[in-house]
Amino acid sequence: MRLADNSTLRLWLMPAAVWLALLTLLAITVSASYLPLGLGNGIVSMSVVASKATLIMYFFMKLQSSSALLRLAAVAGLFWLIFTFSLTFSDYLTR
Amino acid sequence: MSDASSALREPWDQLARQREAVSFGVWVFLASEVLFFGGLFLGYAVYRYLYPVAFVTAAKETDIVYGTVNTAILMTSSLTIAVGSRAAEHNVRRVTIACLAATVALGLAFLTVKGFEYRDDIAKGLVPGPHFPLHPAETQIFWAFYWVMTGVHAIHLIVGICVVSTMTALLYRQSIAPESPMFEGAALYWHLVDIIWVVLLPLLYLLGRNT
Repeated sequence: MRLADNSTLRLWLMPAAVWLALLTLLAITVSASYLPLGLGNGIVSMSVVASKATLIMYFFMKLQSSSALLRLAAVAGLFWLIFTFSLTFSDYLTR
Repeated sequence: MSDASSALREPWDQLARQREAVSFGVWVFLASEVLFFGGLFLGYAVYRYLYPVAFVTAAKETDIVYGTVNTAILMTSSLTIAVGSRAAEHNVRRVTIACLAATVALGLAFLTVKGFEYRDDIAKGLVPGPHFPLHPAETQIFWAFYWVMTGVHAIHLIVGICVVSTMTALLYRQSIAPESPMFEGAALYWHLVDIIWVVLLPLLYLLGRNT
């Protein structure tokens, strides 16, 4: 019974740590949005988005222990997203 | 028949290969989802670049309390489904069922909060069209993105709730084994729906708070 309890605890340990980190990042980004940081507001909120997404993908979606094939599939969407943004804004930002 | 062999499906001869194939298939699907939502994010970025003042004026009208509470709810649901998927892999049936049921409940809680928020938004007349309360007219573009992005996200969450509750019922009735890789597949999808919301939070709720 003790062993079973221990293994249940181990199931929760890592995800709970990631969850606490995510809630901390949420608190940071919501508080920072009230500060007059100018360009800094966008930088803080986008850095927090990147950190949260990385935590979720790396730990919750198990990319930390996935095969190279899965990691490639995971970055494929991001790869083409970068193209859509850079090509579109190479037009709008240079008009 | 052991649990492991009942989780195995044609054409695989090992559960490990089947698990890899399920995850790969779901990741390819998620990459297409990233591009689907990416189109919306790109449209939002272009219009915010073109009408920065209107977007700040419009974003001030979203309710940050609903937005923040819902972010915390969705993050907690990601925690429960992550634990559920780990428990399934370790064949701990009871914890898996409890975690999946909690995930469904948190998903429904998110939709309930969203419903209250939509009711408030509609009461304030924040639906693009004639007699829109904000000026300039481009504020309606922001609100069009608000309705489409949160609406499409909610549809994704409803699909997730249906999938996870079906799996919970199948597991409860012992129709599927906990080792089945389908739990991992569902968890991957659920986490992506969470990530999409993580991106939506600053675009729709955090913009314009400091002015």
